[in-house]
Amino acid sequence: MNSSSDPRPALDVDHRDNGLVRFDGVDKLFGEHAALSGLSFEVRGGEVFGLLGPNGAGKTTALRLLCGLDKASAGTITVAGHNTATAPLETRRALSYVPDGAPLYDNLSPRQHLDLVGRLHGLPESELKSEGDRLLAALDLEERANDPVGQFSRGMRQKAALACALLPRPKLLVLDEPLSGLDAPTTSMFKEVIRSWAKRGGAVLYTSHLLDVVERVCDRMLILNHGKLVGLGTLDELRTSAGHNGTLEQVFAKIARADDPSARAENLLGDLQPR
Amino acid sequence: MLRRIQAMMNARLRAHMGGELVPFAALLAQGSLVGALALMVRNSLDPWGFSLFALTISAGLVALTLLGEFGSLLRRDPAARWSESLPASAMERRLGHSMAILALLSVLSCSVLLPAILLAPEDMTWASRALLLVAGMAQAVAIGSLLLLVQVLFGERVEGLLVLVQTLLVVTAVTGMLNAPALAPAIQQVALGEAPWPNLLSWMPSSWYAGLVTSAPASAQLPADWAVGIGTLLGLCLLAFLPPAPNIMARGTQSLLATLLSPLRSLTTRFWLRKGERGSFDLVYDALPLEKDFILRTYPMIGIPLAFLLVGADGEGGEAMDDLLALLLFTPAIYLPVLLAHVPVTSSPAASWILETAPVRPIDIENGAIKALAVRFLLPLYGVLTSLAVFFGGLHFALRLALPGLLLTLTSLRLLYPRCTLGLPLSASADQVEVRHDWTGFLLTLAVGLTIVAIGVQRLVHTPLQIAGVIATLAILDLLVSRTGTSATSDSQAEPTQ
Repeated sequence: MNSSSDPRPALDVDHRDNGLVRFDGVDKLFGEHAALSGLSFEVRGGEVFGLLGPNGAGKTTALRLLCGLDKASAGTITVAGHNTATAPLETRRALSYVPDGAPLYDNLSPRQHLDLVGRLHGLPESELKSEGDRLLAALDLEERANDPVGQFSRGMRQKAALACALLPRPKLLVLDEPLSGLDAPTTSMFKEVIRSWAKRGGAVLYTSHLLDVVERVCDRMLILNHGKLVGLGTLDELRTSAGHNGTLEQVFAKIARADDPSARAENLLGDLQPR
Repeated sequence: MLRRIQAMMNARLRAHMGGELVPFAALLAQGSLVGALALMVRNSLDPWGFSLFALTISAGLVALTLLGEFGSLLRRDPAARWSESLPASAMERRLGHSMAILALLSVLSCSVLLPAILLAPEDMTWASRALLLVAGMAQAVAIGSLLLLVQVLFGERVEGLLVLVQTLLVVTAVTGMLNAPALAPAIQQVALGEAPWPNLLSWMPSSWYAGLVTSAPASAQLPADWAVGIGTLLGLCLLAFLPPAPNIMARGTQSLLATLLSPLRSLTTRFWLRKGERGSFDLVYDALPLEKDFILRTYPMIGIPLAFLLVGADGEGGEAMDDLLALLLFTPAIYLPVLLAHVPVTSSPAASWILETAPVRPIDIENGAIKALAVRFLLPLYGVLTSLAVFFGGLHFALRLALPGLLLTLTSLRLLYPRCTLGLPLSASADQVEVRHDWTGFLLTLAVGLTIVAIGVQRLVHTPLQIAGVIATLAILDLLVSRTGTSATSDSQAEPTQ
């Protein structure tokens, strides 16, 4: 995508200093299990915010609460000033969500998905057509715009899902593992889209296990472990907090108290030897 | 080698059954039905007639099951890319797959035939009963291999054919059940040689296999037993050596019906849809007819009213026929619950986030889906029913009743949708779809009410003024129902879809 030639104005966002997204004391209980506990943070307009944590830390739960797919047991979540519990429609108008794996309807084409998302967001038909065509062309999906996505590779599906996420021009892009399984050129393109969206005033909240990418793309990061916030800030702030001046992977391991990977590998392999 | 084959067979069966090796609930239901029917006919049939009866029901149930819920068992393993990398030869994998199919076919046919065997006529020896069981399993192998062959030969184009076969089976099943009290004595007359051998029986696999169990009537014109045996062996070989049928890939092409309905769709989007309803309308209209599980579980239901018409049309005329046609036009609503219960069905349930995170009120999603169902499914259905009404009852008759029937069915659709559709459109896999079981009282009331209305309109409404009055009344009723639905949820309009 050639962002520099896009004539559209930057997003009208007044949340660069104030939180576009705010989690205040959010708990989420599944029975007696606390998936999230006292989570409080904010995401500002114009920033790329990484949500990190080991498997089962609560990242996806947090995203689901943010997108209104579930309700918090306690606390409040606001998006662009709207409470997700009391104003869910307004909240959803402000964000676009792409889940892990970019699941789409196998029998529908990218064009049909764009029409669906656009109409759900109430976009005028003229904008739907022109903007949809532009996005498909920019993502090299033009020739397959009318083919069912069930025949697409993972990368193509991810691109189609990205087009659907960008079409409504959301204030907030919520991306769950957007880069996993992508080839190098597509990964580079996605990273640039994420950066550019933030530069235009929007915010991007995304989760990823690719910490080397997170380190380069994100302005600030939050680390979750067992549903609790264990680290928040820029990479330098996290380094200070961890007392470790290494890479994000090393800082993360320290903060999240992850087991030494070498020890874990030895434990897994035990006495196994190749035959 | 045997251990590897058994491991692959078990894995395939468990993957298919969601962890269970035996679908007890489904088998119990089938066995109960067969047991009840066997009790009805056991004193009217000799061993051959009873064998024919039991094997015919077994054939129908096995075929319907393989076409429906267990259809994927004949197709390629979805985890093939992984399983092909395991240290098992292609032959072992194929045998494992074939053993899984055979195991399921055996269980299916046994579940049907065991009640029949236990409730067989007293003069049927236990040796014959054991042979009946074996014949049933052999027949199931033949049916399974035939379906597999058809799917392998036709590839992705097989879907329409399978729906047609399923519909015909439903028509046959319902017609057979309705005619059961008359069929048993008729079969017995053939068995005793008191009636000529019907040509139809020569073409039915169940009569071929019944001949293996006990001697067929002298007048029977059936293939030789050795031919049936060789055919079964051939079926076994097909199951063992034919590759699995290809999985039906995602289809994006617009069907002929959708093309024909395009002008109607345009009119609907321009004049009938409200803001907010367009998204779910498009999703249900475009995607639901492409969902294989939805098609296979709902389209054959059209066979039920057709079966009633066939049964009723046989020798009927005058007022009775007119009443039957009126029922045909006024009672499709009774079959709506099956359709509506499967609106959430999709092969892509993970994509439900699109609707779940959409800034659209639940009532708009519901109304959009209802209007899509009306345009995409009800209108074509009424096209077919009206054509039948014209054929059997004349143009004036059809024009008098078709539109009131359609309006009434539309209103029923609005009333039934929130009761029967649990979940968002296209949001759950076929085996996760919840089906309510507390419909019985409501449906009974609906059936009785619709029948009374149908007969009443048919007999009392004749003049153009009366027809216009009925249509106006029904249109106002539909409007009231739609407004009631809107106002009932307007208080909770901020409520998200979850």
